[in-house]
Amino acid sequence: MSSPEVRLSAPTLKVLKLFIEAPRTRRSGAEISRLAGIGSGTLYPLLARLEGAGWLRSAWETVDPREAGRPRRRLYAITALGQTKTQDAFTDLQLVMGVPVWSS
Amino acid sequence: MELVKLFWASLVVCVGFAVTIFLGLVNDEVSAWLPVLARRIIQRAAAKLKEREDVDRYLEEWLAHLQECPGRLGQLFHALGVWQGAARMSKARHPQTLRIDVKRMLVATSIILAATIMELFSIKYDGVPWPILILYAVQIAGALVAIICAAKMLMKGRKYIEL
Repeated sequence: MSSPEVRLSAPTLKVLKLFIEAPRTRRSGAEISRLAGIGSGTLYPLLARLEGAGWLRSAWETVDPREAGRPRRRLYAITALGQTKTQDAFTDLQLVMGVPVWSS
Repeated sequence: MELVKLFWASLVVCVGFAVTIFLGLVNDEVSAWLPVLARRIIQRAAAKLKEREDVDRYLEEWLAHLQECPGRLGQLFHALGVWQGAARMSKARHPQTLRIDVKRMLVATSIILAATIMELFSIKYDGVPWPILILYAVQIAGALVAIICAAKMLMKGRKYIEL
């Protein structure tokens, strides 16, 4: 299956960096927005693109909205494909920039 | 004189008091309405996604995010951001295409061709600068090419051109 092209813009790289730093952590949109400093208007189309390309997957958190008294969060996690693609992208960037992206 | 000064001072105090009360009421009203407005904006934004599955999913997801936004203005900014994002997502999922009806194009081009030919016959050739005649020729040739293309498309069963 061929995945659609993902445009590696600065916000996309910020989001991918968050996930690649903690590949097992599942994060909600609000958390990603806060940590990456990206507004909702940019974040959700970006997450939808990454999910559509198979780089991220998402699932509802396992809480009962009635008991919790709030809507369920959608939690995103990076896939194996996403990890490989992100590492490739960051390696390419390191080659271009000459500095490790992780350290920035 | 003292009485006039006293009157004006009292008036200023009264107006200041009234303005403070009014601004307090406005503040209360705006504070109460902002979360409602933010929710409404998110509902409308989710509705832009068209597909039922997407609408339900993103509505719940964005409302959950709304609950985590600090402050009422933060909630409003999140809602407006989501509105903008939903428009982009909808555009990406349902790209708008320009659809041209080939039959209509054929009719319109034929009318243009007929009008151009009639105009060409109605003008006097004598004295008309040759660049003008070349322009007419180009217009007629263009219309003919468009008519031939449209006719070929119709013969192949293609009724629309999508751009």
